[in-house]
Amino acid sequence: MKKLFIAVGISAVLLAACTREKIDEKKPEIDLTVSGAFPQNCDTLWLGESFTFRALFNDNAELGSFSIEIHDNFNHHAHSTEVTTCNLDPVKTPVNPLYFTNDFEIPPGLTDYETDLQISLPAGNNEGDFDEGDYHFFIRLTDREGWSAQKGLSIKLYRR
Amino acid sequence: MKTGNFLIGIVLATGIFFTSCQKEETPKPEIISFELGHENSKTGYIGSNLHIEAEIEAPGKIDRIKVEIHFEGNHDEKSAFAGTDEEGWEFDSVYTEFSGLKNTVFHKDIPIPEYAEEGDYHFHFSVTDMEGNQTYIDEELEILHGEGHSH
Repeated sequence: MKKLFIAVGISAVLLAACTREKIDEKKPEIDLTVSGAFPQNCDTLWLGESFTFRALFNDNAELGSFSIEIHDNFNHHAHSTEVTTCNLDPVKTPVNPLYFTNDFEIPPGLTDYETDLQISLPAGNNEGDFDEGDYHFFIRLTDREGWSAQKGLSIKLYRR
Repeated sequence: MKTGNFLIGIVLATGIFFTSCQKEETPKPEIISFELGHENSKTGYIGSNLHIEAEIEAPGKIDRIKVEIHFEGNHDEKSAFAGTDEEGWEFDSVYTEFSGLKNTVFHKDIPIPEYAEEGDYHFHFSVTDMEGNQTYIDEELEILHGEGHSH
């Protein structure tokens, strides 16, 4: 009888160890519906000024990092899964478009994180002023497991 | 003695189950959706950007993504690969910025230079995960003189 217990015990431990290897299968989420979230689709950002990037991130297990990319949309290109269009300016050829990209780490151990990040946009570079017009604002969020979510917004970059 | 065998049986059975559970193979990367050219037209225009977009899931984590484009021939002369290597436009790039991700939306707009020849091209797209599993897509791509933008 004792032997039976031991055998069942060993089996139980083995099975438990096996099933416990459950891995995170869920992608993180980018929420721009929280109050104060910025930018929103079709918002305007100003060249040579700074803005506060505010979004709510969450994940079932643990958040990892996020990145922001701004690139021109002068050719009205499509991101099929992402961006909805606003009132677009006419198609034009880029002369000196702004390209911005940056990665940010999220403190470890968090499942919810609200960004409050000041980003300053340069007015130009050594080739002159950056082009005004239609741009895409891309947010990519990654959790510790490597799952990612993206959100693309159509924005305007102008100068005032 | 009978009980003894039975017990050993249980442990062995569990052992086998356990081993099989651990050996679970990582599935290959999956390309869930794919677009070559705007609205998947499989056409690019000289002097404009070639749009490539792919939604990828890789349980084994993406290691690298490779895009390769090379000239096949033009419509008139069907003699593909005939001495075009020197002048023709070729594109070959490996992207590692997605390394470590289990899923992503790959999106690139590749400029097609003015010197590119009109005609048929081969397009290869491959995703390799960190365990060396690879998934790829091969397409025929047509490159034409366009009206300046690829709409």
